[in-house]
Amino acid sequence: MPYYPYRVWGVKALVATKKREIRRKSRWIEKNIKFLFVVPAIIYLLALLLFPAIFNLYASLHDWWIGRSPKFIGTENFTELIQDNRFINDVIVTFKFVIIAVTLEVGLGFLLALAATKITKGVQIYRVLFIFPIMVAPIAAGYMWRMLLHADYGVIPNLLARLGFSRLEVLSNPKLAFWGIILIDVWQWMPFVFLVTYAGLTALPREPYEAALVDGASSWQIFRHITLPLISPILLTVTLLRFVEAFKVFDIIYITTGGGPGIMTESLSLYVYIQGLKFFNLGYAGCIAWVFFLIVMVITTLYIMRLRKEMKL
Amino acid sequence: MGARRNRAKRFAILDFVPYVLLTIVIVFLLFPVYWMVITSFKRPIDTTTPTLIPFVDFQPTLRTWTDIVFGLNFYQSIRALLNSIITATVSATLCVLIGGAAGYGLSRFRFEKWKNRDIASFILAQRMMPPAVALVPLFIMMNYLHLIDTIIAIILIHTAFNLPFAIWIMKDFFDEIPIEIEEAALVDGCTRTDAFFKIALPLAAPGLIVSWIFCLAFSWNDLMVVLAMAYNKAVTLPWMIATGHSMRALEWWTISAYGTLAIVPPMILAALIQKYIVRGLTFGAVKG
Repeated sequence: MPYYPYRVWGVKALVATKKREIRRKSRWIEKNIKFLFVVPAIIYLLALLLFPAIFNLYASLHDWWIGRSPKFIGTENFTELIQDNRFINDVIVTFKFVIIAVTLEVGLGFLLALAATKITKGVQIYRVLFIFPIMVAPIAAGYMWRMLLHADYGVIPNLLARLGFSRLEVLSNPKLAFWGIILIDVWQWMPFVFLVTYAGLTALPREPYEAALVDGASSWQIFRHITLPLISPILLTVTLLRFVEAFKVFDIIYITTGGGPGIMTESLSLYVYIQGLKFFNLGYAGCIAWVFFLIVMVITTLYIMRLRKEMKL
Repeated sequence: MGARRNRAKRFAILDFVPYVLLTIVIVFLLFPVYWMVITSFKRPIDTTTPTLIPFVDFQPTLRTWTDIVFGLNFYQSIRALLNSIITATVSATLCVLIGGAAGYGLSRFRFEKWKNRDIASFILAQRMMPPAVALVPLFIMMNYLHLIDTIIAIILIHTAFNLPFAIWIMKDFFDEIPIEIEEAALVDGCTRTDAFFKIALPLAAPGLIVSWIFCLAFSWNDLMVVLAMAYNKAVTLPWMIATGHSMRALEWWTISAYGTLAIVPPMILAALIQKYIVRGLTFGAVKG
């Protein structure tokens, strides 16, 4: 056995313990690795998204303006909310917007997708062009249409004037402002429905169609009894998804009408924003946020159930 | 004979109907974009008249663009552009890093106490929540942390809003990679971390790119968070569009230039991943 000075022995022992430690640590990592993968994301989400929920709940039970200390008032905010005409108006506006916009988007998008299946050449180009509106920032989309619909300088009123119609300021007209917003939302999201349903239509199995053709079914019968049942899961999925997303509408309304004229086009998102960050009425804003959240949660749950079924989770 | 030819002709005309229809729709979809882009190249006087084609209807000019880059407001516009780029890329990268790991974890391991699908649903529910709901509490939180009007606040919040999306999409992509490849590597003495970094990640590279681009576009297009958290130093391009009309008289040409800057990058990126657009936007429910 060769002679080692004491110091070298010490270093060797140290190295050995370090190695053992590293091995133990790596074994610990290996053992708990599944949590290491998921936990950072969960913590992040809890910190930045669960905190608001708790905060809103706390705030909604208090009379709380920014800069003042909160005063506990129980459910007074909620009773006030039920009697708040502006809130009720916004709920109605939001629901009206969601239902009309989503119906138009799904209807038009699906019809166009059906038309596109008849196309044999160049469908790739159409698909790429359909992507663009989806990716436009909603604020820019709202701005574009505001420019197009401007009563004096806009293209569309000018065109209508040349055809003999009167010039209309669409976005400040009490009757038309709402429809202007619908138009912009349809412009942006109808292509999305088109892309999804088109993808679904092209992935349908061929055999039922061949069988139907052999049996001499008319094209309406084929559509009614083969295409529609086969495509309906995708239609349902896309409708629910559009429902969830349409409830968030904010940017378009903010830039085009700002909720006006009066509060005729104000959505719930906009109202939360105004109460919370314009009036700084934290308690009341938290209260609206909770009600809003519960409404959206119902549809979200439906969509997630749908997703689970679709993806066999 | 004649009748048959007539019928054939009628069918030929019918065949064109979808083309015509789709072309009309494409014009409807792209005209606003075209209009905004050309407005940014018009002289201010031309923006008040509906002139359509450059060089024919109006004389295009780069004045607006040079004004933005070198003019009085150059500091603000350059800063907005830089802020947009930094917040979007950093938050998208964070999303992909954290979300990629979590997606892998949910795809490959089995969690007992809470089932995988419950964790996944919980995560997706976060994404469905309207951002307005969380806005006021996050404002108070960032105020408490002295992060108001910094891009750090915007990055943190954008990451939180887009993280569920990244997790879900990455999980969907990892699910598609056969688990046998990793098992073989594990049998050969590879550790779990190595299996993740050396085998799963490279195989899921398309998924990483797709979710990165989507997160980038979401962050780039977001207005609400920026509106709440920034007023001067940390403003982004959407903020410039949103407040541009109230700063001075409505300057169509300036805002159009900002708008053009804001819409071009997501469009180019989306065209690159067009194969995955449907899959991404439906959270993997429909494979395009």
